[in-house]
Amino acid sequence: MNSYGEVVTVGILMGSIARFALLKIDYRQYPSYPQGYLVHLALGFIAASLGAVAVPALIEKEYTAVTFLALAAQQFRDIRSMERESLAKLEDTELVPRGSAYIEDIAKVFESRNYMAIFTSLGSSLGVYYLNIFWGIITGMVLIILFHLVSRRQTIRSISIVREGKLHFKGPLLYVEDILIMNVGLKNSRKIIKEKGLGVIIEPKDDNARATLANMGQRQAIAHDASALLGIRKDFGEPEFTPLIRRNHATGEIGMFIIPSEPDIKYLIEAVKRVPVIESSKRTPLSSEVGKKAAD
Amino acid sequence: MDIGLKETIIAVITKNKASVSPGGGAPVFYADTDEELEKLAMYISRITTGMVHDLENGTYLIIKH
Repeated sequence: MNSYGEVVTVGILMGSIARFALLKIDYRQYPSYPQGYLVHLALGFIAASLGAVAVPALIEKEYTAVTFLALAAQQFRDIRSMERESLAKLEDTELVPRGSAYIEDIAKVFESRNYMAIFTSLGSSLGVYYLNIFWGIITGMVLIILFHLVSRRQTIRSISIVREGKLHFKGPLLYVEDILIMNVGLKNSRKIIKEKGLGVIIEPKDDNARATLANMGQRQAIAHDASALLGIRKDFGEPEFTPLIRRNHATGEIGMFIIPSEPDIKYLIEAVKRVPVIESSKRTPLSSEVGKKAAD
Repeated sequence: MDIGLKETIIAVITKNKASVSPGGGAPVFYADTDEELEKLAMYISRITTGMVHDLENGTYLIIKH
């Protein structure tokens, strides 16, 4: 049995580390400034404190302290709406918008990371109280690693095969292999597309993937991430250079057309493979009885 | 508040007068040659930030998506 001071300190520390470990500039390119970090670190610290203080409160039989956790849940829901609102407001400033599905997904991730901070601090506080500081820290570290593993996400790589698709024109119609993308009127634009444009075909591996890739939110996320990582040769008011993703309704393959600033097909394919499968777009018809039988 | 037109035909540019009925809601611009057609389409699309589509009968549409 350890003193409450140690219990709370280790809890807060491990919870804050858990939040910090999940805070990295990743494929989302966001947050990337200290101000942005600070917001999330401060909230992570508050989350960790709540988790850490819960242990002594419960041991002292102050059961009303649990209501504080409800308050915390409310707070973290606010984080979600805060993220959602600010990203949605910035959509107009993006050359290739993220799309509402992707924004919702990012917001949800931010919310869940605070719960991870709470549970980590709760776990390590319990460890310190019943065992000692050493085991408290170990518990915290195990939880951090566990959350890292659990919160790993499916990517396009795991649900589909991504390969190069040849761009070509039939009159004014632009195709990626046999998928119609759009009608490009201006001859000069067609010339630029022919010279600099790249095409990618994403073949779904099964019926689940086919349904997921059909979702417009998922497609917009692919277009956004690919153009965020490779750059985009487009300016405001040049709609013909916007990356577009269209579907072959017979096979479920999707074809993307893009003019990246770095026209390197190898890394374009890699960028597409890294796009996360968005939670709200994910479909699993194969896990239902009807879907499985229909697929036969 | 931002107000604008979307998913509408902003303008029609043609050198085939017979194929377009005037007074259909969108302004119609006539061109005499292919070069003029192309140039007009480019200018209007850049001004309106609309997309140029080719109907392949000597008519271009500018559409805001």
